[in-house]
Amino acid sequence: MRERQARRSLMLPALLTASIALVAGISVGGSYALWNGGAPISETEVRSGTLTATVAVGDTGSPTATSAAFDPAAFDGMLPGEARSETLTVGNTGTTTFLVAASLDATSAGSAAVSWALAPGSCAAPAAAGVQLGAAPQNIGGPLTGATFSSYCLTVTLDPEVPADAAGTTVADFTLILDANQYRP
Amino acid sequence: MNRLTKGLIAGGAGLALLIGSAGTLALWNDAATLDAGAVDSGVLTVNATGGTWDNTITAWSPGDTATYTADVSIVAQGDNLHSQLSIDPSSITGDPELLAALQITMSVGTTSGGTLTPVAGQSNTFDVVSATPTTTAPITAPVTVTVTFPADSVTGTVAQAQSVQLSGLQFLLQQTP
Repeated sequence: MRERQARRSLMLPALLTASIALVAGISVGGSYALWNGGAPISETEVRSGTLTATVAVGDTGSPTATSAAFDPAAFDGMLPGEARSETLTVGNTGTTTFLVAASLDATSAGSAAVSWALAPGSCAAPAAAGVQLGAAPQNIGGPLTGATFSSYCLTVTLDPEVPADAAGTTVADFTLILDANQYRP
Repeated sequence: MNRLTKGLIAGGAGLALLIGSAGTLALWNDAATLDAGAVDSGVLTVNATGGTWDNTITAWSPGDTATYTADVSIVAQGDNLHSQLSIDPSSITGDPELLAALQITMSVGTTSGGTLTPVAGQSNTFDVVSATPTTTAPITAPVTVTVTFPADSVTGTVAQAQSVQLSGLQFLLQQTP
């Protein structure tokens, strides 16, 4: 019994010493020695917005689609000098205003037999003259604000001087590339 | 009385004898008073009042900026006191991409009662020098914190729909060696 008490009395100082050392360690480990003071800055949060674009063929926009395909018949059986138009609609489903820039895939951009032009507005009521498209993106129309849709009219023209041996063949298999670039006034 | 109690009494008697022999009042002695005056410590405090953000942006996009301006009052009393005013952008937390894109800077307007001088090589840090370091006359200045989401900081869809909390940000006044 006495031996157990003696053992306890020996353990107590050891535990106490360990606790003090820990407290001292916290004090020494503080990051601000010497004097210091602080004044708060009014709390705020920076929350970034979104820039998301959708595309659909026709006058009605899509809430989610980022690619679309024209009806295969839309530009089928074209004659030399003929021009056909199709409406497509771009949606801004984010919070950030953007400009639409259009370009063609590299192969189509080099075609001598076909030309492409894109104008703001639907084909039923174009808002401006079409912009001739190439490999370099070009802005089409004005800025498109968040949660809005805007239609564009694509006009495809088969060159009047297209060679006769092009008849009945696929003259171009094109991809219209639309970029949505953040717009800041 | 058991053996332990006896042992304690014997120990106490021994201690009393030691005090008697170690006393300082034996034989002649004298004393003189040294009036060294008082030791008065200085003061180092910072307060910010009237702080406001210039605009509230619900959804930030690249190119956006907001500024927070407050009237800062510093008391830096101490003959040999050196201190610096700063903000610590590392105290802010949030989504990594937006956090990496944001820039936070501090600038100081017209100062009275002393100077707040930018420290070379240390962004957002200013040396504090009081015009009257032995008094508690404050150094005052409008201080602006600018939060910028630089237009060229991200491309594509990086850092969209993210958030960063500025709740940990504060004006920090720190004594320096």
